[in-house]
Amino acid sequence: MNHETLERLLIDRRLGELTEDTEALLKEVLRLAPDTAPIAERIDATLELASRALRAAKSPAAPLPPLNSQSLAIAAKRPISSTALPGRFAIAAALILTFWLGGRMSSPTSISVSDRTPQLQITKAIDASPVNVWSLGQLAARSVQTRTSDSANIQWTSPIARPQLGAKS
Amino acid sequence: MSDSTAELTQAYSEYGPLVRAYAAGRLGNLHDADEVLQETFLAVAQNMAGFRTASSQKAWLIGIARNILRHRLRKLTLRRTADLEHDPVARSTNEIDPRVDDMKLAINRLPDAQREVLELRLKHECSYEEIAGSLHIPIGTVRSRIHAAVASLKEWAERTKEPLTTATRT
Repeated sequence: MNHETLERLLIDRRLGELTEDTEALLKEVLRLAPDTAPIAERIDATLELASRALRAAKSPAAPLPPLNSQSLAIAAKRPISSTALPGRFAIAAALILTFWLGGRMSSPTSISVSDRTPQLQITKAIDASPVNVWSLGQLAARSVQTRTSDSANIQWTSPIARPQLGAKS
Repeated sequence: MSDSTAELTQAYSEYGPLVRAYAAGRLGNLHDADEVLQETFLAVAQNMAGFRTASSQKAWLIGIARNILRHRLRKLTLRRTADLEHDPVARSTNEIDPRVDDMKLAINRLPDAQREVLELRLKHECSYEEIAGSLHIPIGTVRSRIHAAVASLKEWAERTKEPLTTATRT
Protein backbone atom coordinates (compact mmCIF):
# COMPACT_ATOMS: atom_id res chain seq x y z
CA MET A 1 0.00 0.00 0.00
CA ASN A 2 1.48 3.34 -0.98
CA HIS A 3 1.67 6.35 1.28
CA GLU A 4 -1.10 8.28 -0.45
CA THR A 5 -3.58 5.42 -0.28
CA LEU A 6 -2.75 4.88 3.37
CA GLU A 7 -3.41 8.54 4.13
CA ARG A 8 -6.76 8.44 2.37
CA LEU A 9 -7.81 5.38 4.29
CA LEU A 10 -6.70 6.96 7.55
CA ILE A 11 -8.75 10.08 6.81
CA ASP A 12 -11.83 8.00 6.00
CA ARG A 13 -11.33 5.93 9.12
CA ARG A 14 -11.05 9.02 11.30
CA LEU A 15 -14.25 10.38 9.76
CA GLY A 16 -16.08 7.08 10.21
CA GLU A 17 -16.51 6.50 6.49
CA LEU A 18 -14.81 3.12 6.15
CA THR A 19 -16.69 -0.15 5.92
CA GLU A 20 -16.07 -2.66 8.70
CA ASP A 21 -14.07 -4.93 6.42
CA THR A 22 -11.82 -2.15 5.18
CA GLU A 23 -11.33 -0.88 8.68
CA ALA A 24 -10.31 -4.34 9.87
CA LEU A 25 -7.83 -4.64 7.02
CA LEU A 26 -6.41 -1.21 7.74
CA LYS A 27 -6.03 -2.09 11.39
CA GLU A 28 -4.06 -5.16 10.38
CA VAL A 29 -1.83 -3.11 8.06
CA LEU A 30 -1.11 -0.64 10.84
CA ARG A 31 -0.33 -3.49 13.22
CA LEU A 32 2.09 -5.11 10.80
CA ALA A 33 3.79 -1.83 9.89
CA PRO A 34 4.47 0.11 13.09
CA ASP A 35 6.30 2.80 11.13
CA THR A 36 2.90 3.98 9.83
CA ALA A 37 1.79 5.01 13.30
CA PRO A 38 3.20 8.57 13.06
CA ILE A 39 1.29 9.08 9.79
CA ALA A 40 -1.95 8.06 11.46
CA GLU A 41 -1.16 10.32 14.39
CA ARG A 42 -0.56 13.32 12.15
CA ILE A 43 -3.79 12.73 10.23
CA ASP A 44 -5.76 12.46 13.45
CA ALA A 45 -4.14 15.59 14.84
CA THR A 46 -4.83 17.56 11.66
CA LEU A 47 -8.49 16.55 11.61
CA GLU A 48 -8.85 17.26 15.31
CA LEU A 49 -7.45 20.75 14.95
CA ALA A 50 -9.52 21.44 11.82
CA SER A 51 -12.67 20.30 13.64
CA ARG A 52 -11.91 22.58 16.55
CA ALA A 53 -11.23 25.49 14.22
CA LEU A 54 -14.48 24.98 12.34
CA ARG A 55 -16.62 24.27 15.37
CA ALA A 56 -15.32 27.30 17.22
CA ALA A 57 -17.72 29.35 15.14
CA LYS A 58 -20.51 26.82 15.15
CA SER A 59 -23.11 28.52 17.31
CA PRO A 60 -23.87 32.15 16.56
CA ALA A 61 -24.48 33.99 19.80
CA ALA A 62 -27.80 35.52 18.76
CA PRO A 63 -30.87 33.32 19.26
CA LEU A 64 -32.64 31.87 16.26
CA PRO A 65 -35.10 34.45 14.85
CA PRO A 66 -38.78 33.46 14.74
CA LEU A 67 -39.96 31.69 11.64
CA ASN A 68 -41.23 34.02 8.94
CA SER A 69 -45.02 34.40 9.10
CA GLN A 70 -45.19 34.10 5.31
CA SER A 71 -43.74 30.58 5.54
CA LEU A 72 -46.25 29.67 8.23
CA ALA A 73 -49.13 31.04 6.15
CA ILE A 74 -48.05 29.02 3.12
CA ALA A 75 -47.68 25.86 5.18
CA ALA A 76 -51.11 26.43 6.73
CA LYS A 77 -52.67 26.57 3.24
CA ARG A 78 -51.20 23.21 2.34
CA PRO A 79 -52.84 20.45 4.29
CA ILE A 80 -50.85 17.26 4.65
CA SER A 81 -53.40 15.21 2.70
CA SER A 82 -52.92 17.23 -0.46
CA THR A 83 -49.15 17.24 -0.36
CA ALA A 84 -48.30 13.96 1.28
CA LEU A 85 -49.03 11.84 -1.79
CA PRO A 86 -45.63 10.80 -3.02
CA GLY A 87 -44.89 11.36 -6.67
CA ARG A 88 -44.34 7.68 -7.37
CA PHE A 89 -47.95 6.86 -6.45
CA ALA A 90 -49.16 9.49 -8.89
CA ILE A 91 -46.95 7.98 -11.60
CA ALA A 92 -48.24 4.49 -10.81
CA ALA A 93 -51.84 5.71 -11.02
CA ALA A 94 -51.13 7.35 -14.39
CA LEU A 95 -49.60 4.11 -15.72
CA ILE A 96 -52.58 2.04 -14.57
CA LEU A 97 -54.96 4.48 -16.20
CA THR A 98 -52.94 4.39 -19.43
CA PHE A 99 -53.02 0.58 -19.60
CA TRP A 100 -56.70 0.51 -18.76
CA LEU A 101 -57.48 2.94 -21.55
CA GLY A 102 -55.20 0.99 -23.87
CA GLY A 103 -57.09 -2.21 -23.08
CA ARG A 104 -60.39 -0.59 -23.83
CA MET A 105 -59.16 0.64 -27.19
CA SER A 106 -57.59 -2.67 -28.22
CA SER A 107 -60.61 -4.21 -30.02
CA PRO A 108 -59.55 -5.50 -33.46
CA THR A 109 -59.89 -3.02 -36.27
CA SER A 110 -60.09 -4.17 -39.84
CA ILE A 111 -58.67 -2.06 -42.58
CA SER A 112 -59.31 -3.12 -46.09
CA VAL A 113 -56.22 -2.17 -48.02
CA SER A 114 -57.86 -2.49 -51.37
CA ASP A 115 -60.54 -0.02 -50.38
CA ARG A 116 -58.39 2.49 -48.56
CA THR A 117 -55.33 2.84 -50.81
CA PRO A 118 -55.69 5.79 -53.20
CA GLN A 119 -53.34 4.22 -55.73
CA LEU A 120 -55.63 1.24 -56.09
CA GLN A 121 -58.63 3.42 -56.59
CA ILE A 122 -56.74 5.10 -59.45
CA THR A 123 -55.77 1.69 -60.80
CA LYS A 124 -59.37 0.60 -60.83
CA ALA A 125 -60.28 3.74 -62.65
CA ILE A 126 -57.60 3.08 -65.29
CA ASP A 127 -58.64 -0.54 -65.69
CA ALA A 128 -62.23 0.49 -66.08
CA SER A 129 -61.39 3.06 -68.73
CA PRO A 130 -62.02 2.04 -72.33
CA VAL A 131 -58.51 3.12 -73.41
CA ASN A 132 -56.13 0.64 -71.86
CA VAL A 133 -53.01 2.73 -72.27
CA TRP A 134 -49.76 1.18 -71.22
CA SER A 135 -47.88 3.38 -68.80
CA LEU A 136 -45.39 3.17 -65.95
CA GLY A 137 -48.06 4.36 -63.56
CA GLN A 138 -50.33 1.59 -64.69
CA LEU A 139 -47.58 -1.00 -64.25
CA ALA A 140 -46.87 0.30 -60.77
CA ALA A 141 -50.52 0.28 -59.94
CA ARG A 142 -50.85 -3.26 -61.22
CA SER A 143 -47.94 -4.44 -59.13
CA VAL A 144 -49.52 -2.91 -56.04
CA GLN A 145 -52.80 -4.44 -56.95
CA THR A 146 -51.17 -7.84 -57.42
CA ARG A 147 -49.53 -7.61 -54.05
CA THR A 148 -52.55 -6.40 -52.17
CA SER A 149 -55.23 -8.36 -53.86
CA ASP A 150 -54.19 -11.44 -51.89
CA SER A 151 -53.54 -9.65 -48.66
CA ALA A 152 -57.09 -8.84 -47.80
CA ASN A 153 -57.57 -7.36 -44.30
CA ILE A 154 -55.02 -6.20 -41.81
CA GLN A 155 -55.86 -6.99 -38.19
CA TRP A 156 -54.63 -4.17 -36.00
CA THR A 157 -55.34 -5.22 -32.46
CA SER A 158 -53.42 -2.52 -30.62
CA PRO A 159 -51.62 0.71 -31.49
CA ILE A 160 -48.42 -0.75 -30.07
CA ALA A 161 -48.72 -4.25 -31.57
CA ARG A 162 -47.53 -5.37 -34.98
CA PRO A 163 -50.40 -5.56 -37.53
CA GLN A 164 -51.49 -9.09 -38.48
CA LEU A 165 -52.99 -10.36 -41.72
CA GLY A 166 -56.52 -11.52 -41.25
CA ALA A 167 -58.98 -13.41 -43.37
CA LYS A 168 -59.36 -12.49 -47.01
CA SER A 169 -62.13 -10.11 -47.73
CA MET B 1 -52.17 25.19 14.07
CA SER B 2 -52.40 22.85 11.06
CA ASP B 3 -50.30 19.71 10.77
CA SER B 4 -48.16 21.29 8.08
CA THR B 5 -47.53 24.37 10.18
CA ALA B 6 -46.58 22.23 13.16
CA GLU B 7 -44.28 20.17 10.96
CA LEU B 8 -42.64 23.28 9.55
CA THR B 9 -42.14 24.74 13.01
CA GLN B 10 -40.65 21.48 14.19
CA ALA B 11 -38.30 21.37 11.19
CA TYR B 12 -37.29 24.97 11.84
CA SER B 13 -36.39 24.35 15.46
CA GLU B 14 -34.56 21.14 14.56
CA TYR B 15 -32.64 22.23 11.48
CA GLY B 16 -32.78 26.05 11.69
CA PRO B 17 -29.54 26.34 13.69
CA LEU B 18 -27.75 24.09 11.19
CA VAL B 19 -28.93 26.07 8.17
CA ARG B 20 -28.10 29.34 9.89
CA ALA B 21 -24.61 28.21 10.87
CA TYR B 22 -23.99 26.92 7.36
CA ALA B 23 -25.13 30.20 5.79
CA ALA B 24 -23.18 32.26 8.31
CA GLY B 25 -20.07 30.25 7.55
CA ARG B 26 -20.47 30.82 3.84
CA LEU B 27 -21.53 34.49 3.93
CA GLY B 28 -19.52 35.66 6.87
CA ASN B 29 -22.27 37.65 8.57
CA LEU B 30 -25.29 36.78 10.62
CA HIS B 31 -27.69 39.28 9.10
CA ASP B 32 -27.45 37.79 5.61
CA ALA B 33 -27.38 34.30 7.11
CA ASP B 34 -30.75 34.96 8.79
CA GLU B 35 -32.22 36.06 5.48
CA VAL B 36 -30.99 32.87 3.84
CA LEU B 37 -32.45 30.91 6.75
CA GLN B 38 -35.90 32.46 6.21
CA GLU B 39 -35.75 31.99 2.46
CA THR B 40 -34.79 28.36 2.95
CA PHE B 41 -37.76 27.65 5.17
CA LEU B 42 -40.04 29.59 2.85
CA ALA B 43 -38.93 27.14 0.15
CA VAL B 44 -39.65 24.28 2.54
CA ALA B 45 -43.15 25.63 3.20
CA GLN B 46 -43.75 25.72 -0.54
CA ASN B 47 -42.57 22.15 -0.97
CA MET B 48 -43.43 20.24 2.16
CA ALA B 49 -43.82 17.05 0.14
CA GLY B 50 -40.22 17.29 -1.01
CA PHE B 51 -39.07 17.82 2.55
CA ARG B 52 -41.07 14.83 3.83
CA THR B 53 -39.89 12.45 1.15
CA ALA B 54 -36.22 13.51 1.16
CA SER B 55 -33.92 10.61 1.96
CA SER B 56 -31.95 12.95 4.21
CA GLN B 57 -33.82 16.06 5.33
CA LYS B 58 -30.59 17.58 6.56
CA ALA B 59 -28.95 17.16 3.15
CA TRP B 60 -32.09 18.40 1.40
CA LEU B 61 -32.15 21.58 3.48
CA ILE B 62 -28.45 22.25 3.00
CA GLY B 63 -28.98 21.80 -0.74
CA ILE B 64 -31.76 24.40 -0.75
CA ALA B 65 -29.78 26.81 1.43
CA ARG B 66 -26.81 26.41 -0.87
CA ASN B 67 -28.88 27.26 -3.95
CA ILE B 68 -30.27 30.35 -2.24
CA LEU B 69 -26.77 31.36 -1.18
CA ARG B 70 -25.44 31.01 -4.70
CA HIS B 71 -28.32 32.99 -6.10
CA ARG B 72 -27.85 35.76 -3.57
CA LEU B 73 -24.12 35.92 -4.12
CA ARG B 74 -24.61 36.13 -7.85
CA LYS B 75 -27.40 38.69 -7.63
CA LEU B 76 -25.87 40.99 -5.09
CA THR B 77 -22.28 40.31 -6.18
CA LEU B 78 -21.39 40.01 -2.57
CA ARG B 79 -17.84 39.16 -1.94
CA ARG B 80 -17.53 36.15 0.28
CA THR B 81 -15.71 37.04 3.43
CA ALA B 82 -12.80 34.76 3.08
CA ASP B 83 -10.95 35.81 6.17
CA LEU B 84 -12.63 34.64 9.32
CA GLU B 85 -10.68 37.26 11.26
CA HIS B 86 -13.25 39.73 9.99
CA ASP B 87 -16.15 37.40 10.58
CA PRO B 88 -18.36 38.30 13.54
CA VAL B 89 -19.45 34.69 13.76
CA ALA B 90 -15.95 33.41 13.94
CA ARG B 91 -14.76 36.08 16.32
CA SER B 92 -16.37 34.23 19.19
CA THR B 93 -13.54 31.83 18.86
CA ASN B 94 -11.05 29.96 20.74
CA GLU B 95 -8.76 32.05 22.80
CA ILE B 96 -7.05 29.07 24.42
CA ASP B 97 -5.10 27.59 21.53
CA PRO B 98 -3.62 30.03 19.01
CA ARG B 99 -3.07 27.09 16.65
CA VAL B 100 -6.81 26.85 16.20
CA ASP B 101 -6.94 30.38 14.82
CA ASP B 102 -4.00 29.59 12.57
CA MET B 103 -5.83 26.52 11.34
CA LYS B 104 -8.83 28.70 10.49
CA LEU B 105 -6.67 30.79 8.25
CA ALA B 106 -5.28 27.65 6.65
CA ILE B 107 -8.83 26.38 6.04
CA ASN B 108 -9.77 29.70 4.48
CA ARG B 109 -6.93 29.35 2.02
CA LEU B 110 -8.30 26.07 0.74
CA PRO B 111 -10.15 26.09 -2.60
CA ASP B 112 -13.81 26.88 -2.05
CA ALA B 113 -14.99 23.42 -3.13
CA GLN B 114 -12.68 21.71 -0.66
CA ARG B 115 -13.50 24.07 2.18
CA GLU B 116 -17.22 23.57 1.64
CA VAL B 117 -17.10 19.79 1.95
CA LEU B 118 -14.73 20.01 4.90
CA GLU B 119 -17.11 22.37 6.71
CA LEU B 120 -20.09 20.16 5.99
CA ARG B 121 -18.25 17.12 7.33
CA LEU B 122 -16.43 18.52 10.34
CA LYS B 123 -18.62 21.42 11.36
CA HIS B 124 -22.11 20.26 10.41
CA GLU B 125 -21.38 16.56 10.81
CA CYS B 126 -22.85 15.52 7.48
CA SER B 127 -21.83 12.12 6.15
CA TYR B 128 -20.15 11.80 2.76
CA GLU B 129 -23.46 10.57 1.40
CA GLU B 130 -25.36 13.55 2.79
CA ILE B 131 -22.79 15.96 1.39
CA ALA B 132 -23.05 14.31 -2.02
CA GLY B 133 -26.83 14.67 -1.84
CA SER B 134 -26.64 18.33 -0.79
CA LEU B 135 -24.15 19.39 -3.41
CA HIS B 136 -25.42 17.09 -6.17
CA ILE B 137 -22.00 15.59 -6.74
CA PRO B 138 -20.81 11.97 -6.70
CA ILE B 139 -19.72 10.56 -3.36
CA GLY B 140 -16.27 9.88 -4.86
CA THR B 141 -15.88 13.60 -5.49
CA VAL B 142 -16.76 14.35 -1.87
CA ARG B 143 -14.18 11.82 -0.76
CA SER B 144 -11.44 13.18 -3.01
CA ARG B 145 -12.14 16.79 -2.00
CA ILE B 146 -11.91 15.89 1.67
CA HIS B 147 -8.70 13.95 1.08
CA ALA B 148 -7.18 16.88 -0.81
CA ALA B 149 -8.25 19.36 1.88
CA VAL B 150 -6.83 17.29 4.73
CA ALA B 151 -3.61 16.66 2.81
CA SER B 152 -3.20 20.42 2.33
CA LEU B 153 -3.89 21.15 5.97
CA LYS B 154 -1.50 18.45 7.09
CA GLU B 155 1.16 19.88 4.81
CA TRP B 156 0.52 23.31 6.25
CA ALA B 157 0.79 21.94 9.78
CA GLU B 158 4.05 20.18 9.00
CA ARG B 159 5.51 23.39 7.62
CA THR B 160 4.88 25.23 10.86
CA LYS B 161 7.55 25.15 13.51
CA GLU B 162 5.64 23.65 16.40
CA PRO B 163 4.77 19.97 15.99
CA LEU B 164 1.07 19.66 15.38
CA THR B 165 0.58 16.74 17.73
CA THR B 166 2.10 18.72 20.61
CA ALA B 167 -0.13 21.70 19.94
CA THR B 168 -3.34 19.73 19.92
CA ARG B 169 -2.50 17.97 23.13
CA THR B 170 -2.07 21.20 25.10
